[in-house]
Amino acid sequence: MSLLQIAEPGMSSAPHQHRLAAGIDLGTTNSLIATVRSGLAETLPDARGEHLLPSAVRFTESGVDVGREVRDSAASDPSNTILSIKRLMGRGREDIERLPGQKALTFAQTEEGLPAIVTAGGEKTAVEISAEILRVLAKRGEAALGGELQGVVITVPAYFDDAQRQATKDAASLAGLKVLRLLNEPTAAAVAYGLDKEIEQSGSAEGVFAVYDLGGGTFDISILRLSKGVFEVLATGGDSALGGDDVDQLLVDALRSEAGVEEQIDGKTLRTLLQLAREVKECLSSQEQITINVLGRKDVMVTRERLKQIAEPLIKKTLLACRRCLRDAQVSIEDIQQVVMVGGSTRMPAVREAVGEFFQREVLTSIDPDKVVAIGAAIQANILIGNRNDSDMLLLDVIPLSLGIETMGGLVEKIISRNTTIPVTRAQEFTTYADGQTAMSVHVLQGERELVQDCRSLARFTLQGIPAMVAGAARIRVEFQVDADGLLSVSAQEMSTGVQAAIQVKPSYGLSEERIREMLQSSMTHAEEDMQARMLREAQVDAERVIAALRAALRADGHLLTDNERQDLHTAINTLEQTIQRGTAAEIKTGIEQLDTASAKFAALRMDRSIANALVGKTLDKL
Amino acid sequence: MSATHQYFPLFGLPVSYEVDQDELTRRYRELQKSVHPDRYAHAGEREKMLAMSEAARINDAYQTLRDPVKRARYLLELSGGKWQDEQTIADPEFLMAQMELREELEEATDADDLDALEALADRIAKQQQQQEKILAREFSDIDQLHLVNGKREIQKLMFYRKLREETERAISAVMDQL
Repeated sequence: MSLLQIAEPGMSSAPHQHRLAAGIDLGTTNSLIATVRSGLAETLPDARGEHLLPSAVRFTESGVDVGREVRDSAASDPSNTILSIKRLMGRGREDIERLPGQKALTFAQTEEGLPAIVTAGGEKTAVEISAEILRVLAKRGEAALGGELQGVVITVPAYFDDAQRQATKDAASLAGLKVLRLLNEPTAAAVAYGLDKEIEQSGSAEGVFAVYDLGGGTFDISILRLSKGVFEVLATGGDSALGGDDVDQLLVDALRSEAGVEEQIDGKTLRTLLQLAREVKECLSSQEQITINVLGRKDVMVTRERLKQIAEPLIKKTLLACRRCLRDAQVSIEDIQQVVMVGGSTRMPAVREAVGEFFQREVLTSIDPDKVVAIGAAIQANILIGNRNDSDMLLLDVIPLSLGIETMGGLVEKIISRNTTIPVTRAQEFTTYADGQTAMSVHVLQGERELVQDCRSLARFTLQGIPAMVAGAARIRVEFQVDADGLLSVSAQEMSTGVQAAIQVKPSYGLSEERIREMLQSSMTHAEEDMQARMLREAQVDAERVIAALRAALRADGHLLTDNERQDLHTAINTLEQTIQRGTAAEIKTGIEQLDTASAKFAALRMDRSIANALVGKTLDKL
Repeated sequence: MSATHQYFPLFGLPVSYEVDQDELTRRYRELQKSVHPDRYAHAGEREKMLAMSEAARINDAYQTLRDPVKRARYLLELSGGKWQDEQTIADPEFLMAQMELREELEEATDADDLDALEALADRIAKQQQQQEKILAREFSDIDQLHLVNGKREIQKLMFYRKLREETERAISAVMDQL
């Protein structure tokens, strides 16, 4: 006999339906997508079985290509091929030299002053280019999962500032993805290894871990503290221009001198040699020595020991960064319980040995170092989308760089200092310096230095609608809020009158919401109605999500409300349900806002209750 | 001010300088688990906003109670004292010792002597810990808190911190050159 599931009227008939979510590692050199299926987190391959998608994008008159072919044939169309676009995310014109191959590219400037690359397919910003990579990954995910992705977790380097995080999020919206959370790459790697569970099993209260991430062109070191499912990034460091590619280059130099290739070589020969160097490097990860023929000139034998010598200066540099990061985190080497290895270049035995020696322990390498970040992101996405209500995991991140404002004389006054746990809110009071002043401008910067010119400009805010008063009489309270993704928002109020000042934000290195919407519109291949249909569907999904969440809340905590209040909420839900059936996207959006307003008191009551419960729960535990 | 009075009750702890740090951290994490925005990833906008501001408030309270200087300053204000940055300190002996440490820092910095800088940083850290103990004694009875003395001991701890920060910065600068 089978048991029938009977749903409460109005309750979703499939409350335990598996929601489709994925984790995305949007990397400088390669990108990946991973998801949790049957309880197992795994990266997803393309049709040919390739898991790694090279982060290479080429724009042509007829469209856009992403991936391996683009990377391998970069030299044939250098002015339309963009590699390592991550280096330009949230960055300005002065940063374009960070981009490899930038000499072959033509740059233009957007209205906002952002750099754009002139391609056969038009002018493209870093956000648009990254969105192309995300689209390919999303398509791969949807094909594998058999449905539309309902949410993704995208990883970012722990040191990414506000502008870089915002750009990543913008790229996701442009690709039509809903971002559940931006997750720090080292945290994702720690999650993939389940280090939180390890601590629990070991019986100790907490543990400190290092994540050593050596990619093709970047090196990052992070120190994390984990305790009862809570992950905290204590410090991060590294070098954005140091990676395995440098080893390849040095190995090419060595091969050339041993084979007697002393003349100038052209780009094609150099690429052949680089490819050869990569093969040598990969072979020496599993064998002690290899003999290869260099350009038909000479057979050269390379031992693992020789490669180690070549890589040594680079490895030393990374260890120096580790030492520094330990100091920043105020922990000693003995405090480090595990070292997680991330990035393809950590396959080199010399790297593993040196890092193990430095930290005085065996390093963790059991998960493919190219995939570990995406896998961690997938695990977190699966939790956030609501597939795992049993999870106790909580990822607390810190703000990587101090936030401050410009004061007199070009100085920066810190408002929120680095390594403060987010989300965080800080208020600062300002006053007017002229009689009748009704507007003022605030320049927000990010960085550790004291001078404005040494910090990175994030945005300028113009406050308007300040009531006219004599100079110094107005008290304007500006509130800076950094959310769990590390993104800043600002609000302002004149305290003596309570007038809310309107804020206009001008991001220094970002796109306005308006611009994102335009881009989204123009990226739609089909006509207006496609856009309309998509917006309607998105609004419907949003509304259904809000209703489902509210219904669940009412089932759990409805008793916090009076009968009348509860009745009102049910009525409001019914209204929105009708709007979903018949309304336009805009009407549904308004309906969601109305329901949100109607449920404000209930939300506040629930929040208070869960805080009270959290404390009571703890106190009872102790009894 | 009303909200800031609630830091201790928020964690169910008595108003006191002595704070059981393990207990504080445990309760902090329980609270964050119940209000963190990640728990509301698929809730409505308003609930998300609410979760974010609650999580921010709890973070703030936790940072204040966890940190000796912030906690002491908070208690000083609860006791009716007023904190102002940039106050002078009237303790010639202390100031003299500070100046000597500063000279050492300058010498080691000029010589790019990483080992000496690291040793100095460790020494300052020890003295800082010592000062933390003195501060704890000064604040041990909050009802009998001597506002002037309390302020002075906070300031001294801040001096050590600043010096330590500068030493760490000097270390970073030397490491940058390596």
